Amino acid sequence: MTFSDERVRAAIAERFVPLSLDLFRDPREWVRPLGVLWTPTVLFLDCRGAVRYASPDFLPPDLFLDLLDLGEGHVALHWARFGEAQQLFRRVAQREPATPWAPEAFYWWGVAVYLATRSRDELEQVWRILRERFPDSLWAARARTD
Amino acid sequence: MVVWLRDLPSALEQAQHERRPVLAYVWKDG
Repeated sequence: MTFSDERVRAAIAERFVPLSLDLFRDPREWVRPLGVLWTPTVLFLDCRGAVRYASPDFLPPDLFLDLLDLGEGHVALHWARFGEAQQLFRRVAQREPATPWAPEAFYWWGVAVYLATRSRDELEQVWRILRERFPDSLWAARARTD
Repeated sequence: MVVWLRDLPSALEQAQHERRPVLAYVWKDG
């Protein structure tokens, strides 16, 4: 079980405000704006309650730890903490052996780099690696600067 | 130790105060 893994528990306790909601028993005005259709779902919210990333169902601990980086990265991106977002996405993108999250992480790492620098060249440097390493991924198909 | 809050407004207030994201686990009983 993911939440019984010590690494997962430590990461959640150190980096997030953990919130548990019952889709049908908690107040509708809390749950409905979150747009959850399937349970369980893990959401990453900013301090205004906006959903910045959503992940349906359970994941094994290693994949869940990557998800924590991605979700935190998306919140950082929307808070204009571009340096922090870059670090989180890059960490997942460069993990060895490659994680299934890597193509997505490369994509958003490039976006975070661009938002920090406004440089198409720097964006292209990241996305080029994505296209070379994961050419058949959906994320490589999206990563076109031409 | 993870202490799961059960109250959305309190979680958002804490997130604002601590400048941390909220990790919301949405489930259903049964």
